Formats: sequence, C-alpha cells, structure tokens
Amino acid sequence: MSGVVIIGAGQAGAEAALSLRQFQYAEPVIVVGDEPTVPYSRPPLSKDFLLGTLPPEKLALRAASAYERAGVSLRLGEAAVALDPASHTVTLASGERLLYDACIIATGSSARRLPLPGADLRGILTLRTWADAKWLQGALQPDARLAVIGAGYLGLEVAASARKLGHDVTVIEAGPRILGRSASDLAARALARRHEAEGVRLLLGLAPAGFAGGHDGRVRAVVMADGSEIGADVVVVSVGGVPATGIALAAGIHCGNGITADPDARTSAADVYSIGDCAHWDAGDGRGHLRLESVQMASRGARAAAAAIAGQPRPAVKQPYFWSNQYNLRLQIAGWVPPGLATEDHLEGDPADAFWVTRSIDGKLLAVEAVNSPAEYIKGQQLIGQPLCLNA
Amino acid sequence: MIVHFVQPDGSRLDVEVDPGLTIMEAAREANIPGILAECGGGCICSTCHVIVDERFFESFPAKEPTEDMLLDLAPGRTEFSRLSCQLELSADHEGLVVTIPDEQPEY
Repeated sequence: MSGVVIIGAGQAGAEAALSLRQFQYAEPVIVVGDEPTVPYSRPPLSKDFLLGTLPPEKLALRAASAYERAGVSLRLGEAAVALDPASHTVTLASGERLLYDACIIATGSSARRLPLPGADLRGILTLRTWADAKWLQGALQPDARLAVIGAGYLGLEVAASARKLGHDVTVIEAGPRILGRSASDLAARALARRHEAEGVRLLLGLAPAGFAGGHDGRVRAVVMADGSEIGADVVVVSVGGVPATGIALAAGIHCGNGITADPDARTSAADVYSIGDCAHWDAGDGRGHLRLESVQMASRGARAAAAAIAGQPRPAVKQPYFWSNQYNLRLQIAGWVPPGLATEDHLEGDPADAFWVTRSIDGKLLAVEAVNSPAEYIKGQQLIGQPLCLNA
Repeated sequence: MIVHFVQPDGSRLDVEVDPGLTIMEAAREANIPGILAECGGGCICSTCHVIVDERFFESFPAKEPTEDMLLDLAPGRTEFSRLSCQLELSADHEGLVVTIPDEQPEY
C-alpha cells in the first residue's frame, strides 16, 4: 500500500493527516507543504500575532513531535508540482514521485492581487502566510502610515491591530460598505462606526487607481481615480482569496469556484479528494457547493475526507460559524447567508458595545451575528433553521 | 507528568504532558480522538468537551459564564463536564483522568 499523499500543509491538510490516524488508518500518510514551517494557525496572523501578544511558538497547530508520534511524515519546504490521477502519482519540484492510494488536495487559496500601476512597489503586500505577517510586522515601523485596500474581515483586522499599535490607518473599500459579502448591513454599520471612533479613516465606494512610489522604489501613496493621493508607507491589499486550483486543473479535475468536491470531499478524479480553501465543497447540508474560507470548513472537510478514505461513516453536518476580533470586539457568527440574499435583519442591544443581529427569511432564522454577546451566538447555534418568533 | 485519556469504549491512553499546556492542547499533541477543538481554543465551539476526574475537579478555576453556556450545547453533559481548552495543567495534575464523552456537539 502506498498510503495517502496530502498536498498542502495548512489547517486542512494537517487536520486530515491526524484525522486519518484517529480513524485508524494504518498506511503511510505524507503531507507535502511548500512553506518551511510546521503547520500553523492563520487567523492570528492579522490579530494577536501582528500585535505581538502571541508568541510565535503558539502559532503552530501542534508541535512537530505530534506528527512523528502519529506516524505522519511532513515534507515541508517542498512543492508538489503535478498530480497524475491515472498513475496515482504526485510529483515534487525536486522531481521525486510519490505514489498514492488516495490523494487529498489541500492547497488553500492565494491572495488576490490588484493589477494596478505601481502594484509591485516595495511596501505593498498581501497577508496570507507567516512570512507575510513577519514582513508586515517589520514594515510597520513607528510612525508608518498604513493603507488597507479592501474592508473584509482580514483588512479590518489588520486595520484594528495597526490602530492599536498607534499607526495612522486608512481603509479603502470599493463597495458601498464594509463587509459587503460577509455581514449584515446593520452589523457592518456598527463595526464601521467603531473603526471610525478608533481613528481609522474609512473611504467607502472608492477604488485605488494605482500606487505612487519614491526614488527608492518604495510606495509613498495610494493614487485614487480622481488623481488624489493618500499617503502610505505600507499598503496591505486584502481583496479576497483565489482558490489554488492549478495542480487540479492541470490534472483534468473538474473545478468551479474551487475544486469541485462532493460530501465525502471526493473530486471528479478517482481517489483524489479536495478540502479547505481550495475546495468548492458540497458539505451535504443542502446549501450546495460553497467555498467558505474558515477554520471550521477546513477541519470539517478534513474529517470528511479522512473518514471516506479510512472507510468510516461520514461525520455529521454542522452549521457554519465564523469569528473575528477587532479592538475589544469579539464577533461570532452562527450560520451563513449567501451574499446579496435579502433577509429580514433585526439588531438588539447596544450597537456601540454588545449587540446581536438576527437574519431571517419568512420567519426562519438563517444566521446570528453576535458582538460581545456569546449567549446570543450560542442561542443562534441552537435555533438556526427553526421558525423565529419576532416581536416586530 | 502523565495524564490518562479514557475513550467512551473504556480504552485508555496514558500521555506524557508538559505542565502549562491546556488539556485540549495536550490531547491534540497526542492526537486523542474525540477532542475536535474546532475553534482552536477560543471557547466558541464546545467541541473539546471532556469529563474531568472528580478528584481533580475543584483544582481547576471555575467556569466563566460563556463556557457554562457552551456546555449546555454539549451532548452528555455531566456535573464534571468542562471545555478542555479552558483547563491548564500544572504539576499537581499528575495522574489526572480525562474522559471523552460519547459524542461531541453536532450543531
């Protein structure tokens, strides 16, 4: 038996490897990752890690010894360059070929870039990896002015962390509001007010036209469409992720918005599975194929693939949930609403402190967004999908 | 120090643990099935529910209200239930027995 080869050593890949052992899978398990580091947790990179409150050694999901003990071999700093479903082989950049009985593609996503003039100036970066975060930390010298392009969770978390560190921060968002794809208007407005109260300059409905640099090749400003400039020493471009489907497409595997995967995480190629940020996964919860970038989706996919490979029953379906920390605000979201879907939203509590928004359609609860209101988040987890009695 | 993890079927795994880790972290390092710890220790998901050795129960700090509410979501809650991400191990916990519940919440 050749065992399982997992391409990608992020949260999804690492969880899949360990889950295979939990499911009593006894054959070799190899995880190939192009980053040199032991699998680590990405969410803190924009928050506690950037703030310097999380020691780097706490970023690892587990110590290297945990993989050794579990009999999982980590091939770090090595890139998989090709997958051949017909011969069941994965080829590494070194030319080495790994045979597999089952292959899991967990290549994650890469940061979307802006094809604008000046986008390659020094000081402009995206945040995806530990190396990116260390680079950003180093670039944020005292008095450095930061511009964040894109007001999704990542951009807002970076903005909040940088404000906490005392930097001048401008957030530029092309859409009419922050969190346009991921939160209700009510919650987004409350969070926007908080960012402004903290001193973040929030520019909505405005897209950058390019970047201006100095003679030293470093960025000095974001150039707007009307020619105006926003001075910046560091620019973080956080305008979404692109699923890393290259290796799958080259192997002839079907892809939509990511690598198409069924509830067992199986792709269109025999014995090839896909999980995590790169997968367009039908989790079997009636929502159809989705690509939700979250820790929970990564670990759910990992367990689904591991169970299928190890011949164990499919793990139960759960509600999606998400979280974000900005300033002292702890945002917890239970459930998921497709972007653009019109819902009836109700806000309760104090929008400046602790509040929650229920989102429903025809009296049926779809999601709860709770800020500093863990009890309401927990209630939401229990009530989603059930009729909601609104005292409207 | 040694901590004993007991599965619902009665099987037991003795794990060498460094004080200072939480029970959840120790379980993840040892790849103990049944402690999913989906949220990574943020006290938001309740998938690291365990039943703590009666003898040691009082030695851990009392539950915060959030933990208590999350435990309400956990199937098979007992009076000795805790979220293992909230329990830091010290040298006094030598010989602690941690029991994994039959199932973790599937909300």
